[in-house]
Amino acid sequence: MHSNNSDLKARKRQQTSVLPISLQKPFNVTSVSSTSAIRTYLPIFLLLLLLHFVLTGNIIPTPIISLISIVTTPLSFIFNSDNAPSSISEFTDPKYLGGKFQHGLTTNKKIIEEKNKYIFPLIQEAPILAELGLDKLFKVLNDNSNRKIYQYSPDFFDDITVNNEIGNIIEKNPELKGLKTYGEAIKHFKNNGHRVYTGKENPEVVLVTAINYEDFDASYLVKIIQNRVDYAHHNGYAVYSRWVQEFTPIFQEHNNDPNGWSKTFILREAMYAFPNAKWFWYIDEKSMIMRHDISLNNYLLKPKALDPIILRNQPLIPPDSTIKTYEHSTADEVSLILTQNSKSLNTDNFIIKNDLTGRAILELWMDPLFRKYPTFRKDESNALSHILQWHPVMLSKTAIIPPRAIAAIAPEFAALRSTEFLYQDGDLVVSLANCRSSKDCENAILPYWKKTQNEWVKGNNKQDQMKKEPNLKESNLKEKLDNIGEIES
Amino acid sequence: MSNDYEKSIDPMDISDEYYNKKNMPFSLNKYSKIMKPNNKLKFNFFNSKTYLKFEKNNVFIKFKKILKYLLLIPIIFFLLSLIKLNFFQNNLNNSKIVIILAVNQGGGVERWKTPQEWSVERSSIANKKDYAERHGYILTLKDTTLKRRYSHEWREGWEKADILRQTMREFPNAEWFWWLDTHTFIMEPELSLESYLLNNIDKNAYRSVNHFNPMKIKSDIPYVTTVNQPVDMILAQDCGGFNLGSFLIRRSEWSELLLDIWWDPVYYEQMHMFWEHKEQDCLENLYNDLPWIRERLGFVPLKSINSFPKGACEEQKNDPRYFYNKNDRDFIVNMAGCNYGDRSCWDEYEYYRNLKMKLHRPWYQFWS
Repeated sequence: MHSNNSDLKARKRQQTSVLPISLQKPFNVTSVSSTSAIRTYLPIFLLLLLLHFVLTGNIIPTPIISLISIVTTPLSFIFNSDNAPSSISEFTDPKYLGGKFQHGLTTNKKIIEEKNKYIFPLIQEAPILAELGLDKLFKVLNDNSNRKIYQYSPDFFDDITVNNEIGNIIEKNPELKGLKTYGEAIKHFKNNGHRVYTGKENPEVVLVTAINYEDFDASYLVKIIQNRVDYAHHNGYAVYSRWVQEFTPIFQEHNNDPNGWSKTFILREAMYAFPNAKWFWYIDEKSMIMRHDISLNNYLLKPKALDPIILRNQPLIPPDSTIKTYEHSTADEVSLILTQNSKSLNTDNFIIKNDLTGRAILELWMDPLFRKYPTFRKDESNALSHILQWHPVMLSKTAIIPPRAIAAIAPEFAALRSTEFLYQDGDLVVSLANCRSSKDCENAILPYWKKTQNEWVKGNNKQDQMKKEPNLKESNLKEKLDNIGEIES
Repeated sequence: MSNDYEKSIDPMDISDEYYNKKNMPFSLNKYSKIMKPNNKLKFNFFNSKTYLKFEKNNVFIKFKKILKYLLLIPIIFFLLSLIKLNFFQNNLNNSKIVIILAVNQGGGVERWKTPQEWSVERSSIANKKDYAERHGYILTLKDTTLKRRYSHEWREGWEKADILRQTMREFPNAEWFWWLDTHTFIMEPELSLESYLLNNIDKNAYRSVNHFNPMKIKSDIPYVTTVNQPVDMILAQDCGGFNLGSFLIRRSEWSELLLDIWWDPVYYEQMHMFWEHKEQDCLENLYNDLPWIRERLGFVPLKSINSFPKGACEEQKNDPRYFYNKNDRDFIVNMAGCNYGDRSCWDEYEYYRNLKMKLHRPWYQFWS
């Protein structure tokens, strides 16, 4: 049975198995399985790589590359000259970095610190300034059409010693006496822009008035300013007032009406002079505050007080403009408080907040391109209604309130108006809307002035005798004016 | 060998001789000619002595189980890389930065788009998409096709403000919005906007045009306080003034107001014939006249967010402040005006795309 060729041999005696006893590695599990692991996984791995290559087009998967790069990052610094910038500061020049603080309309950084919170020009100088005329106050250029062009001379704001002007006056009018007074007046005129409030009190509201010495007599203006000062004194507010004429060169550029447009510039200057005040109430020179016992803050500015009187869903330009005020505006966000006339916005009296939105509206309003636009040149309220009609964000921060709240009109100047505009006893403000000449206005304001004097002086005596009354009184002023007259003659 | 030898013995075969290893006949070692082929003559690496020696001392084989798992890691990585990981997508919407890429610039009415324009636009989108994904920003594409709404005499091409406002509404959680024109290309995608630009912008942006004033804008106007004011808009100036090819704007009360007044009929009616660059000129005008605009603008050098290729700004060819320099590794190239004159958008785009790949090839990557 057994072939000779066969290697299998019969069992020898005592041999227990045919199988070799000592095969070197008959059942070595370790060696066989380790190679088989590689043999089984490697093709799968290679196939996956191939699949990856087909799908993504990269030979090595990105995670593996990133693994490699993590390991080799320290090495790569040696080989790689990667000098990509890490921050923008590598480009900037520190010389030009850093901010600056604001300055007023003047280029001169000089500041006249005012501890007194009632800042207004010296009214008693009104006749002198009127007599001097704009020619003495500004640099004059004559263009071909015989129109005088006023400019701020390069040293208009900077050189407040006014030696030049005095020199000019001496040359032209050697016989003039009282030169010192004229010089002082010019100096004060130029100083107005430098005055910044640095007192200890923090008035929350500033009453702002633009006054015009060409249109009104000093006796009238004194009453107006006195009225503001009395009211402000009673409520802890501040007063800011400037001559309209100070801005002549700006308005001449685009033929603007100074009486209308000056309010924007004076308001902006007021915000510069009182940087910490919250609200600025512009009351024009034809309005008089009738109630010293009404604090504007409690009466209007508090959200609780303002909220119920906001006219919502009200046509912006009465009676029927398509743009209406927002129905859901909240009083907290209001930055501009306005009233309306029967067919336009009333910009004689309004309140503007000293925040970003308030300043944005005001500065946009003052923009040269707005002042240049034909229909806005003579009418600044047109420009404001344009802004509010075209810019919904600004409209949403505007509150329209009933006219009598801050701009009731005296009955004798409101012939064709309905009663909602007319002043009634007890209203906060009376406004002589259309009066033209100084004498008309003075006559018209006199009864209201007397009324406030009677009531307020009594009230002051009763309530706060401890408080000092500001000493700008008509009588004082008349004396001063008389003195000036004497010097002149 | 002794251990292996002992283990490999069939217990049934244990005989007396087994214990007497020394007397074991040599021939038995080489037995087994029928049970399996004798591979002695064929060279088998796995059976060779060198391999066996290696195997005996090999750490990898000793820790075979661990090795298996280690081998699995790259496979898992690879499988994961094939699957799009969508669970990061939810976080994307909460990003503070939105990149607005204007596409279809000037497209729509005048002519068909050429294949090259399509290609440029596609690379541009891919470039921003890659950048946004890398840093977790939001990328949104905004169509700036000429529309009837913006046709002549009625705010032609003034859609930037509208798009920005719409985007701010679309992403209510985002803070910064980065406008990019189609022809921009991010050359250094590793830079994150926060560390590169936004973290220290208050300290590192110029708050006036004193450093660089090609348009001779008044450098000092009244009522401007820039101390302690936040920067709400970041832009750069090129040889022609403000450049709005790449700028950032922050959601704030200020930007709301700016976007509200940017287009105004009174400005437009008077100036649209003179303002060749539309919003750009208008913004210059606003900057010139309005103090509150000035207070929140921050200027950065052109090279930092908007460098030009050769060919732009030809009058100032030699001024290094305008142009991309690969040694400086500038962040972004803006091929503004590449479709005018002798320039070709596609050529420039391909050049910068290849340059970027070249600059970013890691040292170990010898393939491709």
